[in-house]
Amino acid sequence: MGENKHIEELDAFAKKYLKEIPTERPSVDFTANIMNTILADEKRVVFQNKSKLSNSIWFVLGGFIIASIYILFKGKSSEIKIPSFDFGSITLPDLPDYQMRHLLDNITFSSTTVYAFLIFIILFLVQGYFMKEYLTKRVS
Amino acid sequence: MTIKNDQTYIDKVLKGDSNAYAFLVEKYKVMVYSLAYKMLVNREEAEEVSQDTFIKAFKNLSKFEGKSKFSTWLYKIAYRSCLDTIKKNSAKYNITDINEITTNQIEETETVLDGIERKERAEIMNQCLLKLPEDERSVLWLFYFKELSLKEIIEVTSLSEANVKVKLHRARKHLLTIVQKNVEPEIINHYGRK
Repeated sequence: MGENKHIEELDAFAKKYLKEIPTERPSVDFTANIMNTILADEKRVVFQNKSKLSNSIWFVLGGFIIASIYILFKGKSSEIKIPSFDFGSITLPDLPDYQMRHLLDNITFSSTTVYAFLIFIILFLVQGYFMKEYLTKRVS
Repeated sequence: MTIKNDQTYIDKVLKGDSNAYAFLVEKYKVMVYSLAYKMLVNREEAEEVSQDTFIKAFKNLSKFEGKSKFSTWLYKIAYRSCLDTIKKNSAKYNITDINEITTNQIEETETVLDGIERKERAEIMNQCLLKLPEDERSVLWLFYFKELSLKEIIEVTSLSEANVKVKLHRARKHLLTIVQKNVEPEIINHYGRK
C-alpha cells in the first residue's frame, strides 16, 4: 500500500513537471538535408551499371568466339569460305532457283580479315569490362 | 486519420514518388530529434542520428508492415541508432551513480518548484532530466513527454515489460533526487533546514 502510494506520488511529480520542458527542434534545413541525401542516392542508383547481357548470352557469345578460333586454327587455307548451304531446298515459288542455290557460293573472306574481326570482338569485350569497372568506381 | 495519412504517403514513396517522403520527415522530425537529443545530450550528434534515422527508414520503408504506428517504427530506429552512438562513445556517456532518496520530500520539492517561474522551472527540469542515466532518461521521456503506452515503449526499446517498469520507477526516483539537489538552496531557504 505504502509502496503504491510512493509510486503514485512520484508518477504525479514526473507527469506534472516533465510536460513543461520545451521540445528541442532540429536545424531549419533538416528536411532539405535528408531529401537531398535521398535524391542523390537515387540518382546514384540510376547510374549504377547493371549487366545488360544475361549470363546465358555471355556463355553463348563465349562459345561462339571459342568455336570461331577453333575453326580458324584448324583450317590451313589462307581464305575462309562461308559454309555452303543449299538454299535450293527451300521452295519459294517467287524466287528463281539459280539465285537461291548459289546465294553464298562466291562469298569468301581472307584469313586476315577474319582474324582482325575476331581480335576486334575480343578487344571490344575486354574494353567493355574495363569501362564498366571504371564507371562503377567513378559513380560510387 | 493520422495513420491513414501516413500510409498514403508511404504508398506514394513506395510507388517511386520519393518527394512524398518530405511530408513524413516534416511531420516527425521534432519527435525523432527530441528523443535523440534526450538520449545523446548533444545537438550535433542528435541531428546526425535523426537524419540517419530518416534515411534508414526511407531505405527500409518496404519492410514497414503497418502493424504498429509509423511513429513507433521510427522511434524504434531512432532509439537503436542512439544506442549505437552511445556504445561508440561509452566513456563519454558514463554517468556517476545517483543516490536514491525516499520520497517523503516530494512535497517540499514541489512547493519550491511551484514557486519558481514556469520558464525557469522547465529549464531546471530539463537540466535535471539530462543528468539521468541514458536508459532511464529515454524511458521517462517516452512515457511522460511523448505519452507512449507501456506496450509501445516495449516495442521501441525491445525491453521486457518488467524491465521497462523497473526503469521507469528508478528513473522517477533518480529524477526527484536530482531535482531536489538542484533546488536545495531554495528548500533550505523555505524550510530553514536541509
